Order: sequence, then C-alpha cells, then structure tokens
Amino acid sequence: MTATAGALDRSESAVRAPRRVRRQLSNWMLPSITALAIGYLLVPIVVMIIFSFNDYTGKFNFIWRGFTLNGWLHPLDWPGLSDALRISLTVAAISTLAATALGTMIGLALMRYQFAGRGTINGLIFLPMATPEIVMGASLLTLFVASGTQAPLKDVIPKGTLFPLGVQTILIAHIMFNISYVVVTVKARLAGFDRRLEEAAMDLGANEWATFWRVTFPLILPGVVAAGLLAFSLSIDDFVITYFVSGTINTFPIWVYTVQKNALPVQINVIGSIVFLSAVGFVALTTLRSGRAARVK
Amino acid sequence: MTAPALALKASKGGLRQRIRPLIPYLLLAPGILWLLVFFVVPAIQMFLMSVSSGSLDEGFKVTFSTRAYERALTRFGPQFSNSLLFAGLATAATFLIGFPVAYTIAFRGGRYKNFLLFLVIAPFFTSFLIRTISWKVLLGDEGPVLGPLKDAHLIPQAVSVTGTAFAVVAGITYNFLPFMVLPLYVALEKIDPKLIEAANDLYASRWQAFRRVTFPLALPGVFAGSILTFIPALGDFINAELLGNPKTQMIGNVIQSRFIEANDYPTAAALSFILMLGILFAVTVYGRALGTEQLTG
Amino acid sequence: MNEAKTGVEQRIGRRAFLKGSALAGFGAFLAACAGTSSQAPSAPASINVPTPPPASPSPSVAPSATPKPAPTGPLKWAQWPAYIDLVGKAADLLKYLPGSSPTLEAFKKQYNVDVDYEEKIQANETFLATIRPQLVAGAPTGWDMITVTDWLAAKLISKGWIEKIDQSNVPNCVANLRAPLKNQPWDPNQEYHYPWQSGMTGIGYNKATLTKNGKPEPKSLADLWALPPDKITFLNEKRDTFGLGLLKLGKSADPATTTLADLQAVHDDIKPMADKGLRFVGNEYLQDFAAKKTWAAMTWSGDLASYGTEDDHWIAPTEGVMIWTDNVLIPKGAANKYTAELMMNFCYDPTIAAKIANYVYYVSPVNGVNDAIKKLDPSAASNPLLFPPADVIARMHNWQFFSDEIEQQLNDLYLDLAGTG
Repeated sequence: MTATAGALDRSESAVRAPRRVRRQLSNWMLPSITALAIGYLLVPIVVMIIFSFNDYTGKFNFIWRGFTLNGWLHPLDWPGLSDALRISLTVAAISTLAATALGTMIGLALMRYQFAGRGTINGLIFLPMATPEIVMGASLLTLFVASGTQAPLKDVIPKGTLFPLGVQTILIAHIMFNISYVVVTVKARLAGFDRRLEEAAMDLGANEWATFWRVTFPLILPGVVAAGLLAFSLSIDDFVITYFVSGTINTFPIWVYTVQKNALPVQINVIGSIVFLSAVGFVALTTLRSGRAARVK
Repeated sequence: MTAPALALKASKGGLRQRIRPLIPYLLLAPGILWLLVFFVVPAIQMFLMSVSSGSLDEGFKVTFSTRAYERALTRFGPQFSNSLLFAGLATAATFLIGFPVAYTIAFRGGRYKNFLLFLVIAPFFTSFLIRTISWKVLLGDEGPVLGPLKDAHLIPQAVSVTGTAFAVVAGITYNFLPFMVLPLYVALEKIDPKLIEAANDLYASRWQAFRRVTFPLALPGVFAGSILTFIPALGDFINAELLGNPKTQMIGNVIQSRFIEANDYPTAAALSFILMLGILFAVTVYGRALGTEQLTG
Repeated sequence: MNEAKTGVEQRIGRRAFLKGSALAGFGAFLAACAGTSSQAPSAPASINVPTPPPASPSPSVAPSATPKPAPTGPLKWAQWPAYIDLVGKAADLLKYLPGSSPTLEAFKKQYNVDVDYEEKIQANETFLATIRPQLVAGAPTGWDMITVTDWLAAKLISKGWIEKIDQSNVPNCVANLRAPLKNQPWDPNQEYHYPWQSGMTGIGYNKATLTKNGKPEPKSLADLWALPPDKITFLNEKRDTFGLGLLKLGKSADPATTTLADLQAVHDDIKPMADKGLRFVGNEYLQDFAAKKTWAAMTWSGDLASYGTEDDHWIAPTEGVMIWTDNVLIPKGAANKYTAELMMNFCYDPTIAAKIANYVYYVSPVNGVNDAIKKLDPSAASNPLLFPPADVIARMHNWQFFSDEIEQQLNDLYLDLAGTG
C-alpha cells in the first residue's frame, strides 16, 4: 500500500489542480482515503487467501490455527465440489457461446442496419440489466414451475423441458441474462467501426458473406472476445438467479452457499484463491503483452 | 418492413436481394426471441401469479385477487423499510468512499491509473459469496479482529459485529463499491483539467471550483454509479442473510423464502412486482432530481 | 429422585458418558411415545391427523413370487446432519463424507450398489418446499429416500406423494419395529413409512462460552429465555419452538388441549426476544455452535453429543422436553425404490441399528437394539440420550398434529416472530 501512496505523491507534479489552498489536506487526505478504500476492497480477498493455508480442525475454517498446505494439496476434497465445478464450467462455456452468438447478432443488427422498432429492441436489451437479479430469478422460477403444475401451461409444454428444474433451466437463465451484456459490449466496440472498410471490400468484388468474415468479423472480434469473457465471468459467478432455477443441481456458487450452512471447508478458500489468482494472472499477462506490443510499435 | 420488401420483390432481384431487408430481423430474431420467451413471458407469468389465489397443492387460479398485494404490503413493512434504508445508506456510503477514490485515480493516478483501477475491480475476480463469507470470518465473534481484542480484554466478550445492521450495510457497501467507483471515474476522467484551471484563474476557491465545475460535470457518473449500486442493493439477500439477524432482513430475503422455502408464490410474486415498481419510480424521480433523464434513454 | 435429576443435568460431552444410575431406558421412552401417540386416535375430532389416501387398486399380490431384480443406484437419500455413524476424517470433521460411514459402506458392499447420501435437510418445511413442486407436477423429486418428522410424513402420505413399501422387501422392518411406534393413525400398517430415529428437543449449550461470559449453565427453559436473545437460537421447526414455549409458560403441550390463546401467549412471550435479535434456525445451529456464535439454543438431543465439541452439552430442561420421530419414506417417482427398501431393511438389522444409534445418540426404533448397544459399548447403558431416565420420560411431550385452525394460527404467529418464516 505504501508503494501506491508514494506513487500518488509522485504523480502530484503532473496535477494541474490549484496550489494555494489547503494543499496539505488534499495532499494527504485523498491518497489516504483511496489507500484505505482499496484496502477495504482487498481485505476479504487477503483473508480468503490466508485462510486457504489454515490448519483448522472441525468443519469450520473460522479461527486461525497455523499454517498448512493441506487445502492446496486436496483442493477438491469435499463432497459435491468437483461435480459443482464441472457443472459451473459447462454451463459457463455453453451459455457464453450461445449468448455471445445471439448477442453479437443483435449488436450487428442494431449498429449496421436501419429498421423499425429499434427503440423497443434497445429497451428490451436494457431491461434485464436494470432488473434486480432476484426478480428475474423469481419470475423464471414462476414460469418453470407453472409449466409443470399449472393448467394451461402444463398441457402445452412437454414434461422435462422446463420442469423439473435442472442444468437446462440454468442454461436458459444464464443465456438470458448474458445476452444484454454481450450486446452492450459488442455495440461499444462497433461504435468506432468504419463502415467504409466494408464498402471498400464490396467494391473490390467481395460478396456480403465474404466481406463479413474477411473484414467485419476480424474487426469486431476483440469486442466479441471481450463480451465472451464478460459473459463467462458473469455466468460462473452467478448465484441469485441460479439459486432460483437450479433445482437439485449445484453450481459452484450454489455449492458454496449450501455448504456454508453447516460447514466452512478450506476448499472454498482454495478454489476462490485459484479463481482469483488465475484471473489476475490472465489480466496481468494480457496487459504485459499489449504493453510490449505497444512498445515494439 | 412490408414496403421495402415489396419494392424489392418488384425489382425482380434474386433471392439474395429479397432476403437483404430481412437481414436485420434475421440477426435479431434468435436473441430477441430468447429474451421474449425467458424474460418477458416470465414477467407476465409472475404478474398473473401475483393476482392468483390458491396453493401449489390445490393449483393456482388467476382470480385478479389483490390479497397477495395486501399481504405483501401489510406484513412485510419492516423488510421493505430495511431494504430502502440499507440500500440507501450503502449507496450513500459507496458515494462518500467512492468519490474521493475515483477523483484521486482520475486526477492524480498518473501512470498508476490502470493499476489502481485494477485494484478497485480486483474483488470481481472472486465470487460474491466467498467475499461475503470472508467478511463473516473476519468479523466473527472469535475471528482475527475481535478474537485478539477479546482475549486482551480490550472489548467485552459479548461484542458482536456480525449479526447487526451495521454489518449488513458494510457488506452491501463493500460488495457494490466498485460499481460506484467505475462510472465516477469514467465521468471524472473525461473532464478537461483546463476547465478547472480556468475556474481557478477566475479566482474560484478550490472548493468553489469543485462545486461549480468538477461536480456538475461528474453528475452523469454519480447518477450511473448510484443506480448501479442502489438497484442490486435493494434486491440483495445474501448480505442480510450472512451478516445480519432476523431484524435486518430485507425484501430479498422475504422473496427468497416465500418462493423457495414456503412455495407461497402469489405473495412472493407480488413482492417482486412491488420491488420492481419501486425501482422504476425511484430511478425516474432520481433522474429528474439530478437532471440527467437523458441518460436513462 | 434427586440423584437421577442431577444425572440428566450432568453434561454429556462427546463420547463421554456420565455414570447415571437411572436405567429406566429405552423401553420406557418408547412407552412414553406410545402413551401420547396412542391417545391420538381417541383425541377430539378437531385434531387433524392426515390419513393415507384410499387404497389404490394397485396389485400388491404375491410380490415374493417374482425374483428380485438387482438393486439399482445410486440410492439418493436426503438426510439431516448428524444422523449416521462416521469414522476417520469425517468423524473429525463432524460431517458425512462419501465412504466415511461404516453402515453405508457395508450396505454398498453387500448389495454392490452406490449410495448418494446427502445431509440436505435442515428443517422439515424448507425441505418440503424443495420437493413439493415436483410432487405436485407428478415429476420425480430426485430423491429415492427422504427422512422427515411425523407430522410431515403424515402430510406427504395423505397427499399420495409417497410410494407404497413392498413389505416383502423389508422383513427386518416388519419383524423388528418396536411395538409402541406401530399403529400410527396416519399410516397404521406401515404401508408408507418406517421410523428412522426418535429424539427429544431440549437445550443445547456451550459451557466454555457461557462461563467466559459469566453465565451459569441453563437448567430450565426459563434459564434459556433469560440469556441475551442475540446469543441464543430457537428452532424454525414451529412444533419445537411453540411446544417448548408452552412448557416454559407452564401450559401443557398436548394437542388436545392447546388453544389459540395459548399459542398467542407463547408468541407474546417470545416476541420481545425476537425484537432483540433472537434467531430461528434449523440444523444450522451446529454451525453456530462450532463458530461459538451461539451460547445456548433449543437443540435436538443427539446432535451436539455426536457432532458437537467437548464443550457442547445437552440437557432436558426442568419444564419438559418435546419428543418426535423422524421417518424414512420413498417419494413418488423414486428411481431406485427397491434399493431404498433394501436400505430400510438393512438399517433395521439390530446390530446395524445399534451401531447407528450409539453414534448419533438418538433412540432407535428397532427391537433388540437395547441389548445390542450394551454389548457394543457397556458404558452406553447409562447414556441418558439413548436411555432417558424415568424423570425425563415423565416430562416428555408429543405435540405434532392439530386442527387446521391451530395449524394456521401457528403458521401466522411463527411468521410474525421469524420475519420471513
């Protein structure tokens, strides 16, 4: 943290803020508040990582008892954990693929074409992001249960599609809430897109299909990848909606929630740490690579 | 849609020509259909449920009864006010903490800007649930903070942090702080430092410059940040469940337990609808108050 | 008399038995159960004991004639925490882990079938809510076997949501079920259920935490009520919380005499505590004890002795205890019904049943367990959890079935206390 505070002080010279009044205050106050706030944000993560090395007894990894690597040597050693992780990864992968495909198509339609009903479509995309998760989860559950138990729906919808709940209902929900985020991310990328490139390709004799795959797609690909990564992380971390629509299936967050009711195994910390460290590693790597690429240029 | 389609047909174009105007709709169709079936239809289904009577065992019938709404409004007053209070307090707290942080990063972050932003979003790299559990461990009665203090007899044995309204608000504040910092940062980052300089040149005090120039320009960020914090906070039930006590339950806890633990679907659906309407109302009023309604569109 | 009383109130540490003199024990306990349950049929008509659905014309003819199929699996069993014998790491962790229960391992080996045993049930009603939509829809619940308390077992059976047990597959159950548990009005011929364990609801507490905070160990419900409300928990099992609430007020916990006013009085007695942070929990209390979050609580008799720590104790409060029986049932649409029946039968072998009961410290419904436990572990003979002494038996109350009116009032009042219910 001291390094950060130091960095803030050093950058002071670059700041164009006025120099006269209460300089002391802002010199120290703002960086201190920032340092404290960032500390506040990181403390639980530090606790999570530290307690992944706790040599605790019993079911509850609550109180520090000494250092051990046991948790890290047996990261999956708790009933249901490996199944839950497998389901989480499967659901995240499939829902990411589906939502990215569906969302990218919507994004393209919104950015490249004029058509009636654009406002309605935009509204429909915006609504799921503005709706509290619990409301979405609850309404999906209402539909799913009704499809199995209520008079008009249960006769129309074949048994086993929407009810009983299972992996398929989790997938339906995850694809649903991911679409909007994909659309928004892809649109942001397309906003800076130069239509003339496509026109040039067409002028050179490429048909629409070839133009899309040779010109448009490579250009929007970074946006699509970003959208996919976002969708993947939203899916793998989702608890609230999944809790409503998962029935007896456990995803990793559901597993954590269920387990913490009568145990707090170190494996929660270990898996949490692994996920955290690999995400951080991933970001660091891409940042370093893009930084190096920029320097080479 | 029909007009251009007809026009094209008339111009005896090939198959491709006839499909062309349909392209945006073809691109939209799968994703929008998904949202219609799994977002709009469930919402309608839930509304119908909220005006139904009966029980799961006997079957629910749409009777347009307002009983569920009466029940929701009369029985769960404390939980509604908890939700409003906690979400409001937490939003205010995230603003008070988040603004100095965003300001510092935007104006004084220097070359560490990205690193600092990365630290702010680092919590997103672990699961929401695990972070909250981490707080529970950290602030537990015998945890790393209270344990040593109690052993040293610095505080009474009976002191608890978890299981209080304070812990719930702190947990929500923690979980949604990055949602406040990021939009604030984006808004502040866009401000041209020359504007502030100009204010200073015109003999505005530092505070006046902030109040008259910086803050108004940051308002879109304030709006976005508080919406992004307030909406999910209002529907949250994890913080109240893991860090609170029965008196600190929020409306999310009620919806969750009415739905999943009691199969009382009409009441839960009514509660969800009231929550949704409340949010729409709050967002509109708030947008008006801040004069940023153009942002909601 | 005095001697016996101190015996019960002596702390029952994990695996550490006291030397009580009372040997009244098991038979008397069940006799006490029988005492109340056999009253039920003769109780006023307002008491609503659900009855099984009219016998369907399903042919239950000569099942033994057909050769038995190979058992299918995995047997999915939804169970409460602290309800099976454990060894090794699981015993240290105080949590079931696959492969950690000698009983289940023996079953797997004998029948060459897998068992997916999950500690899934924290409370009857919350568990019911997870399977109810499937039952209403006529879809499988995902479970082959579930363990629920009398009142819920009766309700499930009356709805027609439970598979009929093929008695020819459960000869041990037929032969060994203790007589006092037979003839329940809601399933008089054991067509749908067999008891799993019986137990008492009383007070559990952590002695070290209480001492640290300068509080004496509770002896009565009044003592429990006197502790800081945010440091104790009651049960979200309404029958336990309101039943003990009645006893605390000096009212009788007898379904035949309970009035709406009685329930209101209990509510009014507890309400101020709920306002000060009293929580209502299910079997999650084990976690709160482990985290030292709870000083004392309403708990079920065996849990803390088997799955708690040395400092955790259970007593039968002076005002009385609630008693109940949990039962195993096969929900409609179970994929592995035959395997579930084999499991029921397996656990009704007296030596197996003795092993389980002597680990979980609940009272087994199986004939002959009495002697088997004493052979297995002579010190267990004086364990008041397994063999409740006469004075505790005299204070037992069975409060499970009421009129619809009482039940409705109970639900409403509980909802008001617990917030979300």
